[in-house]
Amino acid sequence: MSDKIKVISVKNISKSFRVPKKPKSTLKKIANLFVKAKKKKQIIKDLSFDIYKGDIVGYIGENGSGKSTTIKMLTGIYPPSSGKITCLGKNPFEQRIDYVKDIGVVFGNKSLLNQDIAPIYSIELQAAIYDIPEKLAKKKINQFAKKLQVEKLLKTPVRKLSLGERMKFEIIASLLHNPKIIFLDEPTIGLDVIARERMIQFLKTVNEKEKTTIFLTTHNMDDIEEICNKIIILDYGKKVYDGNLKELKEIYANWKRITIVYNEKYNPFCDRDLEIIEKTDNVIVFKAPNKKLEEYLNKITNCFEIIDLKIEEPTLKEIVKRIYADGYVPK
Amino acid sequence: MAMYQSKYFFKLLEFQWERTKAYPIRLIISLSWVIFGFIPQFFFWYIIAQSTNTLPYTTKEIILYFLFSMGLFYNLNQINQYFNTIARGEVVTSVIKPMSLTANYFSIFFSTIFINKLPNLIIITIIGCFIVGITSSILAAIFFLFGLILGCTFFVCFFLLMFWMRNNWGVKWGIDILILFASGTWIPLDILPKFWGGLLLNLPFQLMFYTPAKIFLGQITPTFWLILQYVFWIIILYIIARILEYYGLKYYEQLGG
Repeated sequence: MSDKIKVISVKNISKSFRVPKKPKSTLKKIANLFVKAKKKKQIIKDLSFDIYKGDIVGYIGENGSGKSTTIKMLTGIYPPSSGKITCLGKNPFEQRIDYVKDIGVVFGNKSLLNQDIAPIYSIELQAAIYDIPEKLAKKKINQFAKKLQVEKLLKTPVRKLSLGERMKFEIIASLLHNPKIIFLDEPTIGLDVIARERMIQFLKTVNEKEKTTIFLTTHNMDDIEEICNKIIILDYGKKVYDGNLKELKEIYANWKRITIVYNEKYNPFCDRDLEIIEKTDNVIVFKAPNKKLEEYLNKITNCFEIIDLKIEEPTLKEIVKRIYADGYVPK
Repeated sequence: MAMYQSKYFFKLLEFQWERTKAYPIRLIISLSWVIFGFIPQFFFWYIIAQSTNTLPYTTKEIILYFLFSMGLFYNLNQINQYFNTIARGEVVTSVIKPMSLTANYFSIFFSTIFINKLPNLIIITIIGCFIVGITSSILAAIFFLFGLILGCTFFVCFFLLMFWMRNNWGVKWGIDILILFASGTWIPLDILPKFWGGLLLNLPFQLMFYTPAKIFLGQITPTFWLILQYVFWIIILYIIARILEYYGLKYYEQLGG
């Protein structure tokens, strides 16, 4: 899985921002016209984690939980208010110019490509920034474009491309210089199923071939389940989980989902003691604690005339939803 | 390092040229603005030159002065789009590049203005070759490029101030006026009242236009001392830009993705 070479070390970092403060008194409102009153808002609170070479890390959290802020600190855009970050042995903010040569970054909503012209020009410009010889850059661009099936679109103006196609070119631009770490801030946002699938496969290949560490923020739990070997869950700036997916499921997935399709005959008093997640016309989804699984199955089979029955592990989405609701992970 | 940055710079020129080609109408509009801007200036200064003999310029010289300054003047309009990148958070795509923001934005500003002004520069140099002579025209073109380097370094300093000011149109407008006035684009500095003329001639802005325009007219002979003045101000502004960059990034806050 990983060579256990630490590539990212985050130690007790916090980040606060100055946000506008609404003045209460008239005098303060007048003063606010000239000098804006501000208050401090803590976005990241005492966050620590380590990431090793070759890891694919899913960094998840609700909107406003500090995911993008963490990526910006890890990429050297701004420093933490307190604490220490070491990436590839460097301080990302203080040694930014040297450090960013070894990383690739894709921001889901901030483009590296110029909208007016074809992506090839922006990508070639990117190659020049990283001092990649022109021939090699062209070879790599074609190779990546072929893998992501966008080679025919290299000379189409960016504004005429779909979101998925644009995102593929963003990834090509950020991978040209063989970065040791790739930071992806919501890369699958707005992509259709096929485009998403291709991108995930491409990232998997890059990770396997080059041992590239991938740090990914997303709201799509399928992305996490498909490629990540480690996940970090953030809840309003605080880390609530840091470990692998299997462990998370072991800790939190202490129940099973039982889905039944039954005949119309149904006794409404029969499912009184059973926890139900979802109920439609003739389908019911039960949430059965692992310890009571047998009891649930007995009751269900006695109460309903079952056409179909399915027992599943809870999905990551359900687990994460529960973590957000509870705010912590039981140890 | 310098080698690869120059490689990037030439690639950037190519990139800006592609952008210009994508919307050729913009180039035509920009050229037509120069012509429309030149016509009132021409009549204004023609009337002044005809009605007074205290002007230290002949009618031909004053027209040539404004042909040079109106044809080549640059202001923040050409690079305005980049000034909003800090407020919109798009500056992060530049911060993740392995070069200083100063070097990156200098290259962007220079290439944008250079590609925009290249047709005018060629036309004015050719016209100048016939009217004022080849040496003056070519020297003026070279010193215009020195002035452009100085101007772009100044614009980078101003751009980096946006970390604190964000999108301040009033200040931008003020800087535009300052440059157009203090560089002698609107009024030749030697016809201003003694105090103002003397003051502005000691500031770096005059090196952006006034000096190249005077070289064009053959009224100033370039010396080594003059080149040193350009170098001095470029170094000073570069140091200021790097300080602003460091503290600007430290001050920078951008919530959300």
